Amino acid sequence: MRLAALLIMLALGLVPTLSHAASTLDTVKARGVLRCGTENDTPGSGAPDSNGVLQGIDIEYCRAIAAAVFGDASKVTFIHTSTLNRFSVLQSGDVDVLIRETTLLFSRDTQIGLIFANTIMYDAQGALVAAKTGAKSLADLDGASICVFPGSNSELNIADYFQSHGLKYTPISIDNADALRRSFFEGRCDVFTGDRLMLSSNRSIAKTPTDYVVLPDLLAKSPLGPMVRQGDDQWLNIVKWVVNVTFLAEEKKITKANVDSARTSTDPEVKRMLGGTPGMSKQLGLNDDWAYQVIKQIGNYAEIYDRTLGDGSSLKLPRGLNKLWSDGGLLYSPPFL
Amino acid sequence: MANRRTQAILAQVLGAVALVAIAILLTTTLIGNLARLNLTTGFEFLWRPAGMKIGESVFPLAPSDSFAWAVVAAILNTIRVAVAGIVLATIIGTAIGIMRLSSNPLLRGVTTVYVEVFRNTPLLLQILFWSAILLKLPAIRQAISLGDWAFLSQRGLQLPSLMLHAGVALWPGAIAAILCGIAAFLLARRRNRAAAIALGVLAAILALLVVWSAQGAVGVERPVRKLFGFTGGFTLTPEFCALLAGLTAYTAAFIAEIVRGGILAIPSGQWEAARSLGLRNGAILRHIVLPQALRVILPAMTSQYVGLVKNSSLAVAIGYPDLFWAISTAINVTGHAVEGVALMMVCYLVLTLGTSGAMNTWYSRMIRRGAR
Repeated sequence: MRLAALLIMLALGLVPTLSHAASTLDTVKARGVLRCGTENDTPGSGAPDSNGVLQGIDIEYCRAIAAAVFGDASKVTFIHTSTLNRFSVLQSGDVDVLIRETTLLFSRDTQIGLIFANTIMYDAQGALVAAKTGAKSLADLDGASICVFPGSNSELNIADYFQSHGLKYTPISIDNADALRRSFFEGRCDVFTGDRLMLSSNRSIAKTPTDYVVLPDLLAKSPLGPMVRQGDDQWLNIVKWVVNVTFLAEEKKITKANVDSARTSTDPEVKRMLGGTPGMSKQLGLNDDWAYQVIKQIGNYAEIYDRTLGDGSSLKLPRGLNKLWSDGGLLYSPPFL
Repeated sequence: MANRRTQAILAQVLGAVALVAIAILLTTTLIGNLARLNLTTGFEFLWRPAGMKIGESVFPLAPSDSFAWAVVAAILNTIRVAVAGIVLATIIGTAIGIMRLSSNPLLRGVTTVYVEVFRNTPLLLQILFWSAILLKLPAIRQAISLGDWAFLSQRGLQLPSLMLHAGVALWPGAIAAILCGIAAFLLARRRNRAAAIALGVLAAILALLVVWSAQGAVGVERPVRKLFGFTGGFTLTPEFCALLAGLTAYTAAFIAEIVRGGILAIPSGQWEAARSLGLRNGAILRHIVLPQALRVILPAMTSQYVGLVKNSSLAVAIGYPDLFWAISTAINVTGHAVEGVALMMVCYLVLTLGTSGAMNTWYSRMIRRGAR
């Protein structure tokens, strides 16, 4: 009898409240720190520098969101995620936002309870091979062993490519960047396939980077961007507009250095963006100066790209499609009005 | 008396109701929470095309096959490495367990070091160690070749395979020949000489017929080196070998101790009695000590075998496509974490309960036979 009563009480205690959960913004503010799902083993996306501080484009955008929410870019906890656990970490609420060179796909946007904000890098899936193989194209690699992350869209694309070209391959997939890279560098795989950002990153940390070449083949488009949970439009808007203002700041030539003087700009859009119209961001749940804080502490897109992927980094990736629309690229922020 | 019984029944019923209530509450909460996260529940995702390719599988599998087929292939991979691991660990473990009791100090010392090293370091570390060693094998262009019949390289061990080009007609003949052979052997052991000879002759005739009709139909296929891999033949991949080596070496260390314990549990009077009958040490071990020790050894072996099956999930660390790997990937692609984990638990339970069930059946049969 007593046991049964105990069990019922235990059951009632175990049941979490079904009531509507608090908004992500309220949760983040109450916690006082943003929890960002990133990766800490891929230079360019996220990896520690010589001082042990994480650097990379995905890391920068986490910091930018913290700057917008708290006015302090340092209020972030970075949670390392792998390709296999990244979505469940976000679904379960362990992180507030996932910024981890994740490719926007129809299925990921619709079927797993998550949604993408906007693209922060237009990438493409490619193939990295050892220069000594002499391969000029993926089509030269019949019978090759291919390193690929399990559960990545690259895994699906490479299967499609080899099937449609009537070629054979053996996939090697390990859910750990270091282990998979070791397999490639030791020669277990002939090819490493994935987004070119990640391939350049792998190449940059090879013992002799010139021993490896990224093939010209483009297997698939790969728009990379932040993801949040579905059903919280306010939080989705925050992430989306933090990205947009970095585009807009580049377009308006506002940098980390000149953002203070830009607050008194004669351009009405710049003034609005930097907090000149009090109350404009009230519905977003942020302070009027949130965009100012983002640019002041992180910078515009050009500055972020240069530091993490471009000439200021070890990857030296050309901007390619990641130029402003006005320069012939794809970056385009809607007006701040 | 009756009162107490009613009370007891009432408590049982209330307990059962409480358990069911808990199960219902937890399930509805789960479904509610998943719906709040815009996640659907159900197993229909298993019938969607997996899209991914599995590195190695027992049967041919295309990326367009469903997740269900991928999971089946992965279960077979788990079974493959587990069965090989159990067989090898038993053989090696038994040999080492016996050698640990040897009077030769060198043999005793080496096997003691083996047991202490492999028993006292984490299995994951051992698997990564074997994997790292296998990565150091020569590249495919410098593959070690055994007269072009077998190759050893980073791509694994390539062996020639037996190819049957003829139709199924060959198989019944071959199977019948083998069965006759086994029957002849068993009859010979039971000293039924005439029948044994008759069956043996029949087996030989059948075998000759099979070989004769199979001329040109049975061939040995050699592995052929291509630029990036091998075609033909049979491949043991480095991932499979590393996992198998890790599981075998680790479990064999435990089995060695179980075997040693089992042998030591047999009273020394048994040895002395056998020796006084003039039996040699090897014969005593085989015919007198080991059969008795088996009763002590078997139950402890069962948990080692079950442990090996479960430990095979460490495959994920080196990229061997086992059950754990395949379902983790399916979860990531489809978002069905709860169903995936449940499916994984059911699969492992079936495998481990099957293993311990088989061992228990064997054990109780042996006890019954012994009691007779």
